[in-house]
This record gives sequence, structure tokens and C-alpha cells, in this order.
Amino acid sequence: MLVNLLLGVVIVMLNALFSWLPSVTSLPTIAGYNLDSAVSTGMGYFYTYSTAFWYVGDVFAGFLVLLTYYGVKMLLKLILGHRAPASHH
Amino acid sequence: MIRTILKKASYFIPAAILMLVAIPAHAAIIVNQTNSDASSTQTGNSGNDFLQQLGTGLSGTIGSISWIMSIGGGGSVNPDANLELKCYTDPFYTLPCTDMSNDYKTSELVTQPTPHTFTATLLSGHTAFTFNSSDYYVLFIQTNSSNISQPITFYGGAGTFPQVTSDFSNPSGSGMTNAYFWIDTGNPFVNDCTGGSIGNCIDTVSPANNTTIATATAYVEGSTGYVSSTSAPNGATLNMTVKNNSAQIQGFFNGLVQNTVCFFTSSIGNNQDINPACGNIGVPISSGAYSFSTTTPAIILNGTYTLTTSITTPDFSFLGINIGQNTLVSTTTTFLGAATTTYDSISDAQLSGIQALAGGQSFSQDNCNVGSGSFSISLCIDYLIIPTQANFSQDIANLQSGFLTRMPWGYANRIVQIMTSDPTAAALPETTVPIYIGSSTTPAEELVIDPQDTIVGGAAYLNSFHAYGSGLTLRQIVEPYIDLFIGISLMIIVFHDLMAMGTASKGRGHGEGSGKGNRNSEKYREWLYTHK
Repeated sequence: MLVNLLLGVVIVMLNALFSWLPSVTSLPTIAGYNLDSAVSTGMGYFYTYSTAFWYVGDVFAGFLVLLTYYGVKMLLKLILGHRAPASHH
Repeated sequence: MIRTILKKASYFIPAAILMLVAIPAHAAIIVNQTNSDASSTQTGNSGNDFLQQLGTGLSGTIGSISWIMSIGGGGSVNPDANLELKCYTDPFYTLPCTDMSNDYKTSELVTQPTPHTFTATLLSGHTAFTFNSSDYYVLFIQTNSSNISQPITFYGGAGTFPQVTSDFSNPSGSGMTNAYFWIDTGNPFVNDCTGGSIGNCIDTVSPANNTTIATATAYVEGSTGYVSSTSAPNGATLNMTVKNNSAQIQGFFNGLVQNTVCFFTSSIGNNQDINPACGNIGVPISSGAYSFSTTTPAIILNGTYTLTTSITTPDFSFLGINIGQNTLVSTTTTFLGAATTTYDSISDAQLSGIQALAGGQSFSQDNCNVGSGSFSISLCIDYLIIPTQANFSQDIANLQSGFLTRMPWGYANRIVQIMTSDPTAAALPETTVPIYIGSSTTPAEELVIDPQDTIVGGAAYLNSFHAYGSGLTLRQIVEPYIDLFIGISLMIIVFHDLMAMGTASKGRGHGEGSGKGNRNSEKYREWLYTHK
């Protein structure tokens, strides 16, 4: 409950602080080319391939785990600032 | 000594009582007529009914009454069925007795276009009816609906039981001379597959109808039911066939009834029996329940799969050799293959792993309430500190719908969303290459390149091969090693990164982290060397 409360407060504050920025829920369309649709379709093709060549899907899943690690590290830097590991002094 | 015996007896007596209560009385058939005569039917619209003479000499208390009929589709109201026992004191069925019973009724009946077993049970609050052996009885079943547009068909029996009386309320089509029914003292009697009725012959199938199976995972396929020796005197075979026409993947699973698994395997592009000797030789069975279940070797891709489950018997048996094949019953269900990635599984497992640190115990707000009766200091601390998955998921959802959607990082968030959301596998595009000969503007031939068929279909074909002996596919053998390699590689990368962070944050102001710390340290030493 305490962790949930802390997270909830941080998230509410973040949402409120940056609420003035425009919200984007899809990738833009540039010169008539819908990037969002293109990326979604591309991922659909990729998943079709990865269901056939399953080892590609496994490597991609590993890549996503690594991406999550770097995302968490970036988030820690954002929250903790210079107190975060590997931050500048 | 006597006290010790009494003390021990005090444990045995409640245990014996508990056993007597826990073990239900074995159900018994009071009267039935289950020699099927599928050609004898009675068809009508709403209010269709039949009257079946039961004769005299019956005894026992009714638990349930079952019969077979089909209900056509259409109409806005599903029918139910009322059941009444008519009682007479004379063999001519003219003098009614006083102990009539109309306390049995079905729940609402859904459309069943094929012959199906229906059962009426005692209405709530009513007293079960007990036969008087000196009286004569007639079974009267009537569907109860005024809005059925399609016919309802009762199925007949071919036994020697007293014939159905002729006073149908709504006769239509050919009238049957005997009903197919059974009256049981307990739970519904299981049907024996005759008359093409599914009934309890195929009681359950797995995967169940309209369920979703995750791709790239093994799934359990099986069936339970009941086949009697009457309906399968020369043995029976349970056949389960999975088809996905788009992916050209088919698995064929075959198990002999009576808990004897014959074989299962999968094949591509056809339903051929891989092991004819096993599939064509029936095993004589006695009446009883069967249960077949196996983990399939088939690779599941996205898409809708059709599962056909059937029970077949040989046409006849000669010198122990079964010849021909006759399908007793068959049913078709569908299930959906939907992809979930390893990443999804890892994400879902994170909080479960954190919560498992609490020793697998469940905790709640009551653990912090002294007066609740479940107060516990340790569980209360767990409740206060360990985040609950539901709340954490809600927090993440709030973050994703708020802060993370803001420009410019909202675009990165969108890309991550697309990459990590449940994928919708798209069929690979087909390309047609025209081939021209000479100066003709009309292509003489077209070369069609279909990667969905060649690449995906081909890979699925390769993935279907099994190792001799073990039955495992190449994927099942190799994938654990690949996952192990990926897991170790991830650990090394993360560990190296964490160590580099420590090296970089020694207070020199040059550290960058993320694996650059060691290199910066060397540069720092070079800088010291050149500027000393």
C-alpha cells in the first residue's frame, strides 16, 4: 500500500506537471505516409515471421527485456537525479 | 484401556459418518428404452410432445428423466420442457389414480440442431416421486414455448417396450412408435452414442469451444465421455483432428477409448493415419467412461482452429480384424490461437515474483486490523510494503495514459506500445511478377511469390518434424538452450553495465556509465600521464 501510494503520488504529479504538453497517442502522418499504421503493420509482419522462425522471436523478447532495463535506469536517473548510479557529479 | 478404545472410537465414528455422507448412493435405472431407432422420429413445432407407456411393476424414486430430441434454430425464445407422469390403475390406461406427478422440468433449452440428450429434474421444493408397483404409468413430455419457428424432433427407440400412445397434441411428420428415454434414481443416465446423439458420448472436449490458446505454447487436447459396449461392440476409437486452413497446419490425434492411448502425432496438409496398424485395429471395450488427454506437439500460430472430435467403430469384425469405419458421433468446436510473447510472460511474472517474496501468503487489510481475528504483524507489513499487482497495473496504466503520452516522448512511448502490445500477426503480402516474352505487352506468365505459404508454411512444416523415439520437435529440443543463451547474455550485459556504473561514479566527474566507465578510466589515466 505504501509503495502503491508513493507511486500514485509521483504519477499524479508527473501527469499534472506535464499536462500542458500536447498528447500524442499515435505516430504522425508525414507527407501522406501514416507512420503509425506502417510500424503496426511492420510489427505484424515481424510477428508472423517470428512465429515461423521462433528463435528470432526469442531474441527479440530478450531485446525487449534489455530495453526495459535501460528504461528503468533512465527513470531512476530522472527521479533520483545526481543520486542515481552512474550520474554525473 | 476401555477409555483408550473409546477415545480412538470417537475419531472413527465421525469419520465413518462422514464417509457415508460423502459417498453418494449409486444411481440405478428404473426403466429405460435405449435401443435407438433414429429413423423413427416425431417432429412438430412448439408444444410438441410425446406419450410413452411405461407399464406396471415399477418401483423406486425418480431422480431424473432423460430423452433425446433436437431443437431447430430461429425464434426469439428458447423452450423448456415440462414432464408429467400420468398414473392409471387399470391396464387399459383409463382409470386415473391419485398419485399424479408433474414436478419435473428442464431449465431453458438452447438450440440443438442435432440429436441431443435432455434431462428433466425435480423442481425445487418438490418431493421426489416414488412409483407404486401396482399402478400403470405413462410418461408425458411437452416442450413449452410459443415462439419457436423451427421444428422440434423427438427421437424414437426400437425396443419392445409398450408403445407410445397415439394422442400427440401437435403431430407433424412421421409419428414414432416408441420413445427413446430413461428414468434414473440418481444423476442423469449417460447416453450410449446410439442414434447419432452426442449426449455424454463426447461429454467434454479440450480446448473448450471458443477458448483462446496462447501461441508458441503447448496446449492440452483431450476429451472425456462415455461409450457403452452396446453402441461399440467391436471397439471404438476417439479421433481428434485440428485444422487451421490458413496455416495449413493440421494435427491428428488418436487415442483408443477406454483410457488406452494409441498414439498421437501431427501431420501437415492431410489427416492421414500415421500409424495405420494402431488406428485400424479396434479394441473391444466394455461400457464405461473414457478420458483422453495429451499435450500436443503441434505448433500453434495465430488464427482460428477447428477441432473435430468423433467416435468411430468398425463396420464389422471378422476373426478379430475390424473392417470399415462407422462414425457414431461427431462434434466440431473452434478455438483461437493468439500470440503472447516471452516479453509478456516476463512482464506478467515481475510482480508475481515480488509477491512471492512474501512466501506465497495472501495478505489483506484485515491483517492490520487488531479486531478482525486475522491480525498478523508480518502480514500487515507485507500488506503495507508489497505493492499489489492490481494497483501497480493501474498506476502504470495511469502513467501510460498521462505523462508518457506527452510530446515528444509520447512518440517513443507509442513505438514501445506497438512493440510490446499483443501482436496482430499480419499475413505476409503476396507479390505477383509478370513475365513478358518478346514485345508483347500482355504477360505470358505470372510468377506468384507467396511468403505466407512458402516461408511461414515451410517453417511450420520443418517445426513439425519429431525426433525419433522422443516425439519432440526441433523447437522443443533446441529452444531451452537458446533461451538459456539469451538469458545468460542478458545477465552478462546487465551485470557489466552495473559494474561499469560503479567504476564511473568514483567522483572523478568523467564517468558516463553504461559500459563506458572502464574506457573513461583508461582515458583518465592517459590524461594524467600526458599532463603530469
